[in-house]
Amino acid sequence: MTFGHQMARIYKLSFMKNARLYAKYSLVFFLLVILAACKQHNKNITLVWKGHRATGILIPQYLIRDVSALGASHSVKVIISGNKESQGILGDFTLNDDQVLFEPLIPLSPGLSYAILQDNKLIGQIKVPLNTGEQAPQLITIYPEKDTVPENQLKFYFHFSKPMRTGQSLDHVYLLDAHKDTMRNVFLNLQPELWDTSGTVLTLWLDPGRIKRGLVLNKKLGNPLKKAERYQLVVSQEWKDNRGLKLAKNYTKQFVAGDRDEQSPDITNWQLNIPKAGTSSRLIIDTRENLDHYLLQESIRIVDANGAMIKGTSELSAKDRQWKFTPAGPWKAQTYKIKVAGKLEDLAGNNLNRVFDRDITKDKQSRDNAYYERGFEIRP
Amino acid sequence: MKRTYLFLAAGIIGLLLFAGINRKPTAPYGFITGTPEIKSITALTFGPTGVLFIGDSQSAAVFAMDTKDTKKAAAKAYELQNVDAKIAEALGTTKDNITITDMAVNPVSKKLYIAVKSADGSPVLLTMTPDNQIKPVSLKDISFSSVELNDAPAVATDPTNRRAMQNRISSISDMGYADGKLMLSGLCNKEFSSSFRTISFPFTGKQEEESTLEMYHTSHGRYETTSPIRTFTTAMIDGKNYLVASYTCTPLVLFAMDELKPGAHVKGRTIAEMGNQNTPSDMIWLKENNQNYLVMANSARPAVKVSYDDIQKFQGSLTQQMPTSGGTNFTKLPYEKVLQLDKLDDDKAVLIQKKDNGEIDLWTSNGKNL
Repeated sequence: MTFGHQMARIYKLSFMKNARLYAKYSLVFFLLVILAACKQHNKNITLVWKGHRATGILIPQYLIRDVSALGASHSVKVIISGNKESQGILGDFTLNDDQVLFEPLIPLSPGLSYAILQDNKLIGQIKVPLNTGEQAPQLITIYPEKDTVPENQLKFYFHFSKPMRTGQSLDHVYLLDAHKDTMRNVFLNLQPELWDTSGTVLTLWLDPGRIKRGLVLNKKLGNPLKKAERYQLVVSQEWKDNRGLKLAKNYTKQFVAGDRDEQSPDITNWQLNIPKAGTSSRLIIDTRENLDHYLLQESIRIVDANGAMIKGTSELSAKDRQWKFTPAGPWKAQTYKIKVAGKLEDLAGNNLNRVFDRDITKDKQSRDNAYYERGFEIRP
Repeated sequence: MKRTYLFLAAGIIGLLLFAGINRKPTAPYGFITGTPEIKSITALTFGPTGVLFIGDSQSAAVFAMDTKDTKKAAAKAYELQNVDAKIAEALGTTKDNITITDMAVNPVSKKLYIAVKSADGSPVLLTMTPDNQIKPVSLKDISFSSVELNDAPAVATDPTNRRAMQNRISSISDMGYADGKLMLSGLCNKEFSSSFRTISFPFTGKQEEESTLEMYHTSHGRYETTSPIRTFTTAMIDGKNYLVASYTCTPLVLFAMDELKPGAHVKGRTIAEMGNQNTPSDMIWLKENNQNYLVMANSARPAVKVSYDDIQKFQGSLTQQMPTSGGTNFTKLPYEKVLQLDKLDDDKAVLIQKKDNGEIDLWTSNGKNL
């Protein structure tokens, strides 16, 4: 009502006198008109997006003859353009107001054109654009980050910025020797591959059969890495993420193979930088060797003399050699303990209980402890 | 007067209440109706009539669902060239955008269940009939139950650091069902350790401890406990049930099922070595001329078959390093790169095989050519 009155007033007023007011109201008017137009359903076939995924096709009802027959027969189908023989893409048709929504089982593929047919006659087509405007996925880090790894290095972790396509890692990851020749059969071929829950971290094992000394593969093909040799780990740009976008570039990690590591990590050798009581300063544990990035994150906790866990935050530094702990509250003058899971591994897969390369019938050294503890004193 | 009404009302309500209880059908196996959150389908196997187990590595869980596909049917041969391209087409994409992650034959209806992962990571479950009709299996509003596969508990270092805990997975290498037990072999993405679990079905919601399996690795030439079982099946030998397991580089090992108790350390008997640099993909039992054969598909080497009689007769245990192969006799089959294999009938198997030209075909083998 008020809007109508105002409009009436505007038109009664002289144009020049009220130019500013006129301009304002006309703006509001056009905005409203545009909004109203937007609310009306599109007259064209459009895509439905959920994030970067095209999850459906909206088809205006007027394009389809006899909508009631939609689900019942195959009269209407969606196919990949040009694929006339196709029985139609699997999915559901639903009628919403005056539009028909087609939702396929999996998102529509970027770069492909889809045709909507009724009784094999073309109703319309739509193309799913490539996600070209979006940022390409990146390989953030390859662990271990160190440039020198033990000769019997067991695994690499690849941390990407986006979930990648799975099942094809060995098509895109290469290990090159000093002559830049691609090394064959160095990685363990596993299907399904070992991705973390977010789909962004891949674990690749160097073939354990080749690392363990004296095994047939070790004798025949040798250890994958040889001491003092230079290597390049290459991840090809051709690898796509789950949006269909290629990696930003080729990624290369150069490293040198060092001494063989045949020792279990020993927490009694760890150096502790112990803060003073009354402060909330960091406790720094230097493990004196680079350990497995992900296991180190989850394997250590600080407990009091009664075994109760001390709350706080932890972080890694010095390329997974150091573990730093900042308590939530100030330290008390008392004995604390570091409690370390027995499964914590170094880069060669030796854990606190056993070395990786062993024969269980001959190995009398190995233990089966879930945890190892070491006390330390906080002083005033 | 008022009391009469009250009693009447109470009576009616009571009747409705009990009627409701009575009408509610009791779902078998403790199933509930709902939409499970399945993040990936990495392994499939059938259990009791119509029950399909779905192994979900990404959420470290197994789902048991009632497929309601319980109509008995005779086995008919499957044959579809470029099966990956055909499945991709049905899903509205191209074959480079999908991966077939597992395949299982419903032993009752003989329908083929195929798990597919699309490029964006979404899992899809499809069925296929011998006339090559591909249909989706809806995972919405289904009758199901689930069990979580908790890993050996990590020390919760730092309760604020959830990220460290979240990215642990134990991928499911193979899954099988026999005598009310679901068996799973797996591999962790962090520490090098293999796991083997037996879980009672119907699921009780209780997490059962893993067992440690020790065996002589003929290719490695030593006893091991951490090598991951890639594929397995079961067999009854001399009245006793055994787990028949195969490992990467490829020893074949028997473990007595009655020893596979939660938390137990079980020693296996290595009965054959099929050659190194190889990963077995699937194992089934088939019959030919009234003889039982174990058929094992391999990633790099030809598929092999071993006769049941030979396995039974081989009383020894391999404890010597085998540079190539040895132990129980086995025959090499002219099929390489068999990606998926399952039993269709007593004497027929369905295979998905990658040919030299890179094409992927689905076909049926009768006992004769296997």
